[in-house]
Amino acid sequence: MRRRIEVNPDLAPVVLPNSVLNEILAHAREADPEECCGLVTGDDEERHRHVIRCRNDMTLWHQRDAATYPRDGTQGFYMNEQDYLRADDEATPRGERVTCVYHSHVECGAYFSEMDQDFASQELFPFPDADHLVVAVIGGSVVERALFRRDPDAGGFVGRPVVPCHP
Amino acid sequence: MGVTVRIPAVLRALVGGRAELAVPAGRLREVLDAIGRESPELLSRVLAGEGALRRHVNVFVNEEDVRFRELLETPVRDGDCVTIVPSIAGGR
Repeated sequence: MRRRIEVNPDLAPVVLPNSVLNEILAHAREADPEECCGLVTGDDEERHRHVIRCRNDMTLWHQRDAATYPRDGTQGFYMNEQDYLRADDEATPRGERVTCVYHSHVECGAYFSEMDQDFASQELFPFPDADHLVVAVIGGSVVERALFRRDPDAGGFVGRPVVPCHP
Repeated sequence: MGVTVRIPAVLRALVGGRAELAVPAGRLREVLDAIGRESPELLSRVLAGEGALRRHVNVFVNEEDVRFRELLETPVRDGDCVTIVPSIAGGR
């Protein structure tokens, strides 16, 4: 049984470019009261270069089939497949790859939930080496953010604080 | 003319690195059978043991998710594109 993973404030923070972090935070605020989701692409030189917003289809799936998809977009995200395939297709010619999957939590903290881990750990997850950035939106404002990355020594994901890189 | 099957990057190693496969038209079940003849491993990632689509794998015929058509009996015609798409989801 998985348990949610919280950020470990004692770990060294992950530094993200201001432009990348601001775009993700803006997406999270605009999507409120639903969760937002998207991808970050980059390369070996700069891991986090471009943000690609994707549509959250969870409410659509919930309306189609509430038994299979009991949550709506306020409590979960389901990334539109065409959006993420297009993002992957656009990144490849630039010599980039998807390096981070981001989403927001609304009215709760920036932890890596059991559901987040279930999907990120599935055998066919399309970006197995990607980081996972979670931002928490409470009362319309982003109040917390954390980045979860696989750590073989820890036997799973570990949460780190995130700080912007000021040029 | 046949059917084009788009293979997600994470599965391409199972088909020699190819991004697309060409297979004959038919019901989706027959299209997947044709994929299985090329790569039984790939088919096993798409279908569960009882022959149903795996929970976190979606299959589209052109733009339509087969879960909202006729599942494995969905007709796939010459010129159609079949896309295998693992899900990305999560939540609080």
